[in-house]
Parts: sequence; structure tokens; C-alpha cells
Amino acid sequence: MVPALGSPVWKKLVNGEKQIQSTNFVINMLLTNSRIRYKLEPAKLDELVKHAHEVFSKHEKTIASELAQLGS
Amino acid sequence: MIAEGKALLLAGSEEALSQLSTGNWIGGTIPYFMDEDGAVCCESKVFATELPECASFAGLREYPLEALPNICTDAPENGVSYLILPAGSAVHAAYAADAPEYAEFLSRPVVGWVSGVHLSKLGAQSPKVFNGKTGKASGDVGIAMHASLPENKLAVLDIVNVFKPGKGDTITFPSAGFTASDCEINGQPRNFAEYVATTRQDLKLPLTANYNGSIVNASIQSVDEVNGVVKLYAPVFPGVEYKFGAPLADYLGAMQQAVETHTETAAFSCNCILNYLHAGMEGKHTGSITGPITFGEIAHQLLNQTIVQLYIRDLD
Repeated sequence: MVPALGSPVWKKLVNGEKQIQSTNFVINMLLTNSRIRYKLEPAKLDELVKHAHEVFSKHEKTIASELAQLGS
Repeated sequence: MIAEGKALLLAGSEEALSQLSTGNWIGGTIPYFMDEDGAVCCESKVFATELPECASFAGLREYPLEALPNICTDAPENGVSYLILPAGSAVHAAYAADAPEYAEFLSRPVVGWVSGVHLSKLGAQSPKVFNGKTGKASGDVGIAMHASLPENKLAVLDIVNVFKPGKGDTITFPSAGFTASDCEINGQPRNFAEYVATTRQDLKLPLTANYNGSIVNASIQSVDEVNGVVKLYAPVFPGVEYKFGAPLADYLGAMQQAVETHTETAAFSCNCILNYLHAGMEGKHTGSITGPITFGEIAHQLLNQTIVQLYIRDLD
């Protein structure tokens, strides 16, 4: 299950505090691009969090391993 | 197929594509393909990819520079967009550099390729895209076909990249771009062209960046030691750590081994002309993968020396 948008895990994913392993190309692109953009523009954190939540939600049924790591 | 009204993605030489009747298709110039007989160069053939059976045609549109940032927002909420860009054009450069900033980037998948020409015609002929509705060719715009998918399907993009980061220096760049002068080598400022020349890098090996486990390449086009500039086939970005790819003892073998784990039939695939050249792919197969061999590959963002695959996954 995808954590709610308000869950602190999203900020941790975007700022790099939370790391997850994935072989899913879109998830890996999302994580890396989000972290790069956050480093360059920290003010965009909320926008990046929203985007991460959106992509994870869209791919929910194909990323069981990644979602399991979010919860841990 | 065109006469039947099928929505098609076509790859072929400019001469071949210009002879086709108008219809529901987009095309890009390239005479290199992977087909059932292996990798081939043929200026008279056209490689056709149909939309997946479950997909519905959702529009065909030209993307001049000013419209390109809308490509993902123009796409259906659940679907896939096929994009072809002419190599060397302003839209090619813009997409490569800016796509990660586009609204709905990664949320709405974009797959596609960069059109090119027969290598013997570089400089003499220019890469083009074709709008199948009008039959017109252009070297200045991108061309896209949007397709929607039912709720129980999802378009997923994946890559096959034979390169892994080598054990060499870590390279970073202060600014984004297709050309690189200044860089840092293990944190120390240096000129990138001077570094590449002095360390005698094998230019068949791309710069590789580790995107959380997915390896993304930026291939070297040329090194100008006099002016201290390296040209690349994909941009480098600040904030990304690059290493030159680890050497391959058997380039073709590595590619064939890499595709062995990708046995699922893709709805679309493409490969890179640099793989065709450096691996000696002519007449050889890469598993059962077929598709155009292109001047750049698009899986959300522009890639180099990579096989791109589009899968349509069931969500039930």
C-alpha cells in the first residue's frame, strides 16, 4: 500500500534520508532526479514529494518490493 | 497497414518514408534496424511498430520547441506517448536537457528515439521526422503519437544497459549540457578534454551514472583538446556523479547476455547506433529484440548506448 501523501517517508525519500533498493527504472529515475532537484532547489520539496507520491501510486501494483521498503 | 488505418510508428530512410501514403503514423529517418534476420542496414525497408492491441490512439502532434514542455501534459493520464526527435535539432537538445523538469515527467511515460541518417551521409543529409497525417517531413520539430490505455493496463519502460560504472575516477560537472569543459575529477577541478586525452580513455565507453541502481549513459561524441571541449551525445547534469564505463571484453556477447534476462515481449524496442557500431552488430541478434537502431533512445529521458523497452503490464 502506498503511504499517504502526508507520511514523513516521502520527504525522507526525496532528501535521501531514506534509501530503497529497486530494479524498476521509473522508480530509480524518480528517486535520483528528485534528490538532485532537491539538492539544487530545497524549496521545491513539497512539489517533489507530491510527484514521488503520484508516481509510486500509479505504479502501486508493480512495485511491491519498493513499497515494502517504504514501510520499514 | 496504413490503408487499414492502423496507428503506426515507422522507421526508415527519408526516401522510403516519403513514399508512404498519409495515415495514422509518425516516422523518423534511420536505416538501421534489428529485425528477425539480425541487425541490418537497409535504405529501402521500413520498420513498423503498431500500437499495442489494448491501446487507443489519442492523437498525433508535432512538437516545435515552444510546445515540447507540454508533451507529458498532452498525454492521456494512463497511456504512453511515442516521441521521435531529429538528431542535432534544437528540440533534441531541449528535450535531452529539460525533460526532467517537464510537468508530469515520469508520471506519463514517453518512449521513443532520435532519428538519424546512414552514417555515410552524415553532414550531407539531415535527420527528419515525418507527420504521417500530412506526409510532411521536418528536421526542426518532434513528432509524437499519444495512446491511452485501459485502467487495468500500465505502460512501463525498462532499459538494457551493458555498461556498469568502471573503477576509475569520479567525475562531476558544474553545469548541464551536451558539451563539457570544466569538471571535477575526484573533487579536483580539471578540464574534461584534457583529462580524457591524458588518461587515454576508450571513447567507446560512455560516462555512466548510477541512478539508484539503474545505469544511465552519456556517450562521448568528440574530444577537442585544443579548445578543451568534449562533446557528448546526451547531456551531463550537475549533482550527478559519473564514471567511465567498465571495459567490455566482449561487447556483443555482453549485450546478448544482458538481453537473455529480458524474455518478455516488448510492445516497442529500440537500440543505439553506437552499440551497432562498437559491438559489430550487423547480422547478429540481440535475443528476440527487434526495432530501430537509433541516434538516441528515449525512456522518459534521453539515453545513449542503451536498449529501451516498453512493456504493457496487467494490473489485474
